[in-house]
Amino acid sequence: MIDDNYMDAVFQALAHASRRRMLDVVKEHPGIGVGVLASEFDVSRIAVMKHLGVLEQSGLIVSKKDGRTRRLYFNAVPIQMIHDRWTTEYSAYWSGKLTRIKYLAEMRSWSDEKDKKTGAK
Amino acid sequence: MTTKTYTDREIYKVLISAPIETVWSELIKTTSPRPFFWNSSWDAKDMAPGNTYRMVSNGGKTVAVIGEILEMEPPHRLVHSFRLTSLEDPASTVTYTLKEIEGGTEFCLITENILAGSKSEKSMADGARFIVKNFKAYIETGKVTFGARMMLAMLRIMAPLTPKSMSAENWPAE
Repeated sequence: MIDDNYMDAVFQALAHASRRRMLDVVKEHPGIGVGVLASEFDVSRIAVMKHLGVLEQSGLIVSKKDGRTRRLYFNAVPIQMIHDRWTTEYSAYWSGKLTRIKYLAEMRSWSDEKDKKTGAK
Repeated sequence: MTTKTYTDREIYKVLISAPIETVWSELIKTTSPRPFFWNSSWDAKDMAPGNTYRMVSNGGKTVAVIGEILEMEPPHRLVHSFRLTSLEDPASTVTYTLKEIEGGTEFCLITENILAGSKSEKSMADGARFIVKNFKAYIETGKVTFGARMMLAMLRIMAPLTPKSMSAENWPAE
């Protein structure tokens, strides 16, 4: 069945910190070239290519040839499918609120830390 | 004056368990409202390059989207320009690509040249995700997702409140 294989691949792809970071970078820079992406990481180009292969296999990254470069794009749909499978409209609303509170609290404590270090009040 | 910047490209990809011909014909069917397009219908003299189209809903009273068919290669590729009638933003480009894979079809929705930071950008990103997941659900199960069905019911109730800018009389067919 297409869907189960697909979802296995998505979870496998997400189960690695470097690959999650690559997704962050590609999402921030739609159309980023493979070479530029590789230069953002301290590992060998071969390792980057391997990770990219896993990400493409899962559908989280889509690549398009553009002359001699391969441009990368983040595909949000697999994540959306996972989200939809286990959340209803209401739980999405409340968990959305909770994650927002978490981010606000983290930002707050981060800026408090900074104030302490710089000696501001 | 600052120069306007446009988005490069966003890609929304999904695998659909159905033959490519089925996926294609459901995408461009003009004879009934498309639930994955918020129950609107393609309205064009001919679904061929060079023709303008409208996305018509509410029994012909509302036009949500206008544009022109730019490329048409059955059953693999459809490209059209896209403008939301509710917003003042310039037209962008929408591409659908279909590829035969083992057990089904790889379906991509690609958006390009959206005015960066505009309301259209947010609206089209949400819209593209809605279309892709509901198109898959519609083809595989015969109906769109539960959330989408709630939304369509809501749209029916809210139909009288549709903004005047989307009224069909403002957007006559050519």
